Formats: sequence, structure tokens, C-alpha cells
Amino acid sequence: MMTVLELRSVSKSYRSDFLFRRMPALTDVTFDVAAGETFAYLGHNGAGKTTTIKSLLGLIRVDAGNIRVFGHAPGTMAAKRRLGYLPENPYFYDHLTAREFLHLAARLNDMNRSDAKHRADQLLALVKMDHKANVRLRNFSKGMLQRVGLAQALIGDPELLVLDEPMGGLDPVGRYEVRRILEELKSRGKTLFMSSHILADVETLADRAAILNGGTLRRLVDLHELGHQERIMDLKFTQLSEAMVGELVRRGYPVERRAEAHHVLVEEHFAMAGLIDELVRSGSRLLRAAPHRVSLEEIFLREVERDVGQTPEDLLHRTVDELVGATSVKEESTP
Amino acid sequence: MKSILLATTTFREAVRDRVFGLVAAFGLLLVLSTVIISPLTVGARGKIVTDIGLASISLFSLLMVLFVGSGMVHKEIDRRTIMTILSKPISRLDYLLGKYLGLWATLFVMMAAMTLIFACACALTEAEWKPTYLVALGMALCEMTVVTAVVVFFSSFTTPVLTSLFTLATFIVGHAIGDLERFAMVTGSAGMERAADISRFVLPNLDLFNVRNAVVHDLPVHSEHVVWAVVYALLYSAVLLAISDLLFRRREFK
Ligand SMILES: Nc1ncnc2c1ncn2[C@@H]1O[C@H](COP(=O)(O)OP(=O)(O)OP(=O)(O)O)[C@@H](O)[C@H]1O
Ligand SMILES: [Mg+2]
Repeated sequence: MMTVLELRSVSKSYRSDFLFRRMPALTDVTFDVAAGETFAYLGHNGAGKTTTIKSLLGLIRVDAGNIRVFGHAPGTMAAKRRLGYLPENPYFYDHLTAREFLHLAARLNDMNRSDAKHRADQLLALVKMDHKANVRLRNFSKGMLQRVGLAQALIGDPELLVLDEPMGGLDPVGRYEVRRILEELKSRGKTLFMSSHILADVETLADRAAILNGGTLRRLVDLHELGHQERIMDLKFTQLSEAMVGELVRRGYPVERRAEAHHVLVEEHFAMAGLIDELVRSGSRLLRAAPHRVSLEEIFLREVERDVGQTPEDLLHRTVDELVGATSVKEESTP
Repeated sequence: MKSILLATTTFREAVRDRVFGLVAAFGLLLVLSTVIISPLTVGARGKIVTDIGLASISLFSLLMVLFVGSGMVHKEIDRRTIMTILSKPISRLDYLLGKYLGLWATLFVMMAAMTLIFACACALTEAEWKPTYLVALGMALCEMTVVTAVVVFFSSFTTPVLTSLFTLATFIVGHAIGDLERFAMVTGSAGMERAADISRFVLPNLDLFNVRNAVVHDLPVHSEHVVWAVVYALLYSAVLLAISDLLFRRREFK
């Protein structure tokens, strides 16, 4: 299969303003994106997603490594003719109307005047902004700009779409609509490269995901294989005694309480039968034993947690405590 | 070709951003000045109106180029509009040329409008409208053509504030080159001569375009001088834009 994007040991650092020190933003990032693939690029805030995307477009130069876009160097005409780009939090000309701006985008994509006009109107309808076609972009809301941004990225009907947070600033309806548009593009064989924070959207759309943490690529996940690759069973019990829960946790089993039941995760072949036996004899009832489908969120959090050395729950509690500690609420409740 | 598209956009943005408020300010200034000087004697009044008129057309053009030009590229970088534009199949040279031509078109329309107001002011007062004024204004346009290139040059690599400052400095020194040379000649100082040589080589010799006094006082302006000034303006701008392109091509948009 043809490779559309190719990154080899890409590193990039930014000069911090003080002391001329350089802060690494990307370190030794290597991956490929094949033609027709939908590739999600995930990572926490500041992980380096936008940096990667700007490098792909030739807007910034990498310090080391090599990038190819359709086999061409990033930022060259040959590469740019075949891609559409949606920047994060897009912002365009204040005084142009949506239609004028899309017309400009189409003309820049080598369309003649009448094609450009036609295409601009077509895309305004696609992103449901046709009722605002003659309004100046200055008066657009964030989500409306996001829609116009998507429209300008699609205007040349490019083979590759590079989308930096395509769902950013959109309301639930907008997200649904954009997801439908992306699904449609995918079914037409377009290659989609998108960064996102919304894992649920990614999970339904993407074929593969890359998880970036602090500028290094932690993991490439094949989303079609999710849940099959990790052989974990989810055992659902009721009437599990507190003592037993404590014992399980002590032995290292993840136990989660949901409503009236406890869920215990066990690796399939790791003494599952013995454990069930033991728990049932202790008086609890097994309601269900099912393969545990690992969610992308879980993998994502695990990767992030590995770096931080704390579970996300720990982090959450810590920040909440810090926040509460900063106010008088805590002082009132402690005594 | 794509630079024309961006030039149109730049022009449109400038117009809709009410750049031509400056034209209105110019008109007001001209009207006020004729009112204020009206107690003067009849003959002097005409000359003063033309003097003020021609000088302020230059001044207002300079203001426009400085204020609109310095923010023009930077605003797009700041708001990341430039990233969207540069991700399209357009070269960075085309982008810069688009900005340059758009600014120039704005300048041209603005000067034309001010010239029209000026002509009306001449008709309404006893100031005489002479066709040679068009020569002076054409030369002012040439001068601003160069200044526009200077603005684009500086904004290809520095911030708007520095762009304004550097351009203003270039404008002032560019007008002083003649004085500098004369000064060097009078003092006979080798250092001064050298400074004059270098600035004449690097900086635009803007005095070349100043034929205002000659025109107002009916002194002859030679056609060779005009042709040379036009050629000089075009060459200087072209070279400066080529250097801007080299700098802009290396620029990162973080
Ligand atoms: N212009 C810049 N100058 C200096 N440092 C920068 C610059 N842009 C980004 N960085 C740094 O590089 C790192 C990666 O930033 P980047 O914008 O790529 O993150 P991101 O993954 O896109 O984050 P987000 O999800 O918030 O958009 C961050 O640590 C950030 O502080
Ligand atoms: Mg980002």
C-alpha cells in the first residue's frame, strides 16, 4: 500500500525565551500513514501534536529526522497540492465573508473562477454555513470558524486531510455532523490525519492511533484489534465482602465497583477458575464473565500515567485537593 | 497569478478596515488649512494651499503604508491565517508579492482619491491647478512604491513595531542622503564620505523623488530625471523584494 506520510526520527525543539535553552517538543518520532487510512494523533496538551502537524506542512523545520509527504519534502508545491489543512482554533480574514474566503481558498487551489464559486457554495452547504455565506468572518463564533476551516481544507478535494483538532469548539450537533463528513471522506478513500482530544470520536473513526507523550511516540494502536489483543476477562460479582475486596486489591487485581456489583479484571489464563471458585465459596455470586474490551481511553491514560508515575485518579484527587485546600471550604469541613 | 488573488484580498481587507478614513482626514486638513490661512494675501494663499496639499498627500500616504503595512504580515502570523494560506499550493514569494501588490493598490487608490480632493480644493480656492502637479504626485507614488517594499522587507523578518521604526528611519535617512553627501563634501571628512557612500548604496535615495518645490515654484523638471526616478524605484523595490523572499522563505511559523 502506498505511504502518504512518512516520519523518520523526527525531533524538534523550541528555544525558550530565557537563557537560550532549547526545550524539546518532539523526540525521535517515527511512523507512517498509509493511503486511505484514518490516523488519529493523540496526546495531552503540549504533547507535540501541533508541532508535528506544522512540520508536516513545512511551516516549521525539524531539527533532525526526515519527513515525506507523498514522497515529497514538506511545504513543497507537489506536497501541498495534494493536501488540505485545518489549523487548530482557525482564524481567518476579519473582513471577508465566508463565501469570499472559500472562493479565495478555491482559487489558491488552482480552480478557475466559476469552479471556485460553485465549489465554495457546495462546501458552505456541506458544513451548514450557507445561511451565513455573506456574513463577514469577524462576526463568526469559534465553532462557526471551525466549520469554515473544515470547508477550506476540503475545498480542493485533496487526497490527504491534516486536521488539527477537527472537533474543537463544536457543539454536540456540530461534532456529529463533522464526524459524518469525516466518515464520508473515509469511505471515499481519503487519508485522514487528525489530532484530537475526543477519544470517543477517534475510536469510532480511526483505523490507527498514535499516542504521544511529552514529545515521544509511546504507542501505535491498531483500533481494529482493540479488545482482542489484550486477553483480559471482566468478572462481575455481587455480594463481594469488603474484606475480600481488600484481599483482591492486595493481591494486585484491579477491582472496580459499579452500582451494586464489583468488577474484577483477570488475565484469562491466570488462575481464573481458581479465583472464581474462591470468591463464590466466600459467599459472593458471579453474575457474568466476559472478555474485557480495552478502550482507547484506558490505553491512553495508561500511557500518560506511566510517564507521570501516578494514576489519573491520583492526579485528579491531588488537583481537587489542592483546589479545595486553596479555599476556606476545607477549613470549615475539617474540624 | 496567485499573488494577484492575495493582493485583491489584502486590498479588500484594507478598504473594509476603513483605511480610507485617512483620506477623509486629509480632506478635512486641507479644508481647515485653507480656512486658517484665508486672511493672507491673495497670491501667497494659492501657493500655500498647493504646498500643504502636495506635502500632506505624501505624508498621509506614508502614514498609511507605515500603519497598514507594518501590521499586515504580522497580523496574519499572529492569527495563524498565514498557516492556512501557506498550506495551499502557493509559494512564499507569491505570498509576499501578494501583500506588496495589495498594499500598493491601496496606496494608489488612496493617492488618487486625495489628488481628486486636492484638485477640488484648488478649484474652490484661488490656487491654480497645474498639470505638473501630477508629475510631483507621480514621483511621490514612486517614492511610496519604494517605501512599501521597505515595509514588506522589514515585516518579512521582524515585529510590527520594529517594522514601523525601521521603515521610518529608512525614510528619514533616505531623505538625508543628499544632505549627508553635501556635508561630507564641505567637511572633507573621509569618514563622512564613506558613510554617505554606504548609505547611498544600501538605502533608497528618496530625495530623488522630491520635485514638489520645483513644481510649486514653476522650476523645470527634466524628463530624464523622471524616467530615471521611475526606473530606480522599480529596480530598488524588485531587489528589496527578492531579498525579502530569501528571508521569508527561511521563516518558521510557530
Ligand atoms: N512557538 C513555540 N515556542 C516555544 N515553545 C513552543 C512553541 N509552540 C509549542 N511549544 C512547546 O512545544 C510543546 C508541544 O506543543 P504543541 O503545540 O505541539 O502541543 P499540542 O500537542 O498541540 O498541544 P494541545 O493539545 O494543547 O494543542 C509544548 O511543550 C509547548 O510548550
Ligand atoms: Mg495543538
